[in-house]
Amino acid sequence: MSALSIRTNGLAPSKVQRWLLVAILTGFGAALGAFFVCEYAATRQMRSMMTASDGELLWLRREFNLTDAQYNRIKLLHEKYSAQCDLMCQRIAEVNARLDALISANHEVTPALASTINEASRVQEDCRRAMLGHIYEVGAIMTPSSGARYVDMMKATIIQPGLPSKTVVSQ
Amino acid sequence: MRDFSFCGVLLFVKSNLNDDELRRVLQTWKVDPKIPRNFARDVWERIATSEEASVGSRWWITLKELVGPVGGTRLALSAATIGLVLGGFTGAMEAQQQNSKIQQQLATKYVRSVDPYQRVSSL
Repeated sequence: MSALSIRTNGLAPSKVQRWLLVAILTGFGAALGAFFVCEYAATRQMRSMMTASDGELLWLRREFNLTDAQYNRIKLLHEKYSAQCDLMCQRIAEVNARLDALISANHEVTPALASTINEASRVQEDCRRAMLGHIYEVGAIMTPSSGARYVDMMKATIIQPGLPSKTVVSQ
Repeated sequence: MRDFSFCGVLLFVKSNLNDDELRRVLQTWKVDPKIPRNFARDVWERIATSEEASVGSRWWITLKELVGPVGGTRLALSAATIGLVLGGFTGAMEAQQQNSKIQQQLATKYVRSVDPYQRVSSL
């Protein structure tokens, strides 16, 4: 009885169904489109930074609100330090390899082993000093508050070199 | 027709019988109802059918109320607007998460570029 009254009184069920289907499809399509457009537009800058060769410096620029002049000076410093860092890497690798071989070859702390341990410590000392020097230089280019924040962020690297980067950053 | 004959009987009873006679006649009146076979099942089936129809009709009434006054085009436009807002919001939230993840990766990359020990360990 009531079903009959609906069929005879007003919009036909098939028409209602059709419009509902159209509405659902339109809403779903619009939601999907808006999702991808927003997601793409909002992550575009970060994704381009990620693929850039100097992405880490671009990140530094964004994170510490560097001006063009500050960024250019820091970039130059970073390039200079990178060459120095490569040499330090080489020294670390050499002394570590020597230490590895001596530890395997001996069963007690021989004078050669002790001397290599001292050398490894010296290398680490040099690296820490160079790193801290670079960090202070970079921090000095930034505004005082940004510089303090930057040094604070990098502190863990100096205190414990080789600490996983994620730990350093999260600290 | 039945009502008519019933009225005729009523008239006959009223005009020709007194109360005692009527009582006697009524005492002799026996009703022998014959329930059709499957009566109970038929009744339940009718009840079930009417319930189904009322549930379905409620749905249709609601849908009709939604679609009817707004109109199909407006309904689709409203759905699109809601979809755009929800999709945009979800997309922005997702982008925020992705940006935060990329930022973390870039920060890690920077620290690695400064710390020679990390460079050596990643070799």
